[in-house]
Amino acid sequence: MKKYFLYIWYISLKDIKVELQRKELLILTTIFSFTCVVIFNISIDVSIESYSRVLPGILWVTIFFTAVLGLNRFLSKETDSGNFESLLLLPISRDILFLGKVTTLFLFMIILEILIFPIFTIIFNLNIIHIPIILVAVLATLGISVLGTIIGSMTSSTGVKETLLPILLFPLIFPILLAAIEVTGSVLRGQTFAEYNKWIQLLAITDIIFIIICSFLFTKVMNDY
Amino acid sequence: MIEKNSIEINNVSKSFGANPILNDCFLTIKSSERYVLLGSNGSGKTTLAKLLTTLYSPDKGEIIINGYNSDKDSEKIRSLIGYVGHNSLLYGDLSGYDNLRFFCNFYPDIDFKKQFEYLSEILNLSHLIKQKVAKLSHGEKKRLSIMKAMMSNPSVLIMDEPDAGLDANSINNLIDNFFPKVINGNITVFLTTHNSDFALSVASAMGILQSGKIEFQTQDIHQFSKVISKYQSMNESVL
Repeated sequence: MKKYFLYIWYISLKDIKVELQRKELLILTTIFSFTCVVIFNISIDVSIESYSRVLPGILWVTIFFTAVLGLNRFLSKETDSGNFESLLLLPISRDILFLGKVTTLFLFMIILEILIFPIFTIIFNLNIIHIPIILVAVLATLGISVLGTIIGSMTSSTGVKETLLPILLFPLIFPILLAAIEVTGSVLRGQTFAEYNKWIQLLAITDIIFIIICSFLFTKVMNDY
Repeated sequence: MIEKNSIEINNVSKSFGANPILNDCFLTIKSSERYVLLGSNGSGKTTLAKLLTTLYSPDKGEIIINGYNSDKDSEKIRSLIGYVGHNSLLYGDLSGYDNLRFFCNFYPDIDFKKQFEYLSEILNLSHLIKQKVAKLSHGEKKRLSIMKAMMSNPSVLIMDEPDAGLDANSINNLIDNFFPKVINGNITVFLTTHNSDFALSVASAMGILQSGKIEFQTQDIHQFSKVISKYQSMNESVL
């Protein structure tokens, strides 16, 4: 079992090393998310009373768009260069490879959110850094990473991957986005944990279901890579 | 002494969509044999090589490598083989050393230092190993790719056109150093090529892939020139 998690970490560590050499992914997506937040801030006239209804949507749509942009770059670079084959040749089960990629994407998105949250707080002059929002961010990010990796790996070898990825991803990610928006809104409205706890439970359950189904699916998808 | 079969391809067919590539293909390669497969472009050599690596699954038939079935024991097969493909299968942003270190993490039983020093010297890569792979030439990447394939100490080596992109010196180095010293009758080799001279230099068995089947197979060294002539006449008729 220790070896299983060690191999997942080796896959992820290699991705991190490659990204640290390039640095392009994190820089591009940070600039993109910053631009999104600024555009939303300029274009939508949000009164203080409607903050808790409008801002959670803006926050999570920004994170979703940024994730899609990052995903396209993250997966296509490896498949375009043919390097993905070398990972498929490793003497490990396909689910290790899948979870390694999910771990990288998860860590990448968490770093991105660490950058986005303060930017969002400053630009909208509203503190969104609360423990329940951080918890929901971690759970939602895990779900987005799992679904993003499976859909991304299915679309990465197609000619229209940039268009296909968000089209396929959005309907699947919708329950995750909805739960994340609901919890963020509830926290900003000052509701108690008991009132939004069901959304956190929903997120945790969908994460577990998606990890199991997608690990199995990835093995099937990669059969004739 | 009965020689064991290392690779058995039994009645294998493979298509991509409506395009059949291999039709009821049979092949047996004995342990420690160096089997060279000749075939024109698009004949299915790469498809066959990828079927042996478990990257592809056969539509029909079975592939057995060292007693393991490619459908049921694909992980075990991947631990036994080394693969040299058309692409270098190396990360351009990392150095050669970092690439090898990463891939060897998944083979805990190998002596990395010993293999590294031995192979980098044989393949004349010692001076390039710390450089980023993206900065290496095509031929240097190919040699590094061969080194990567051998780092795990495989018992079966699958080489898909390993001579492609190599200059005459590098090909001679493969013939004079790599095959006699590294392969040295201990490893089963399945190799595809277009280069008749290279094929003659390394083969201990030979065949031609034509119309999705392997034909004109021989293990008789005296018949190799006939197989080469057949292959060349097939190419001329295509042109």
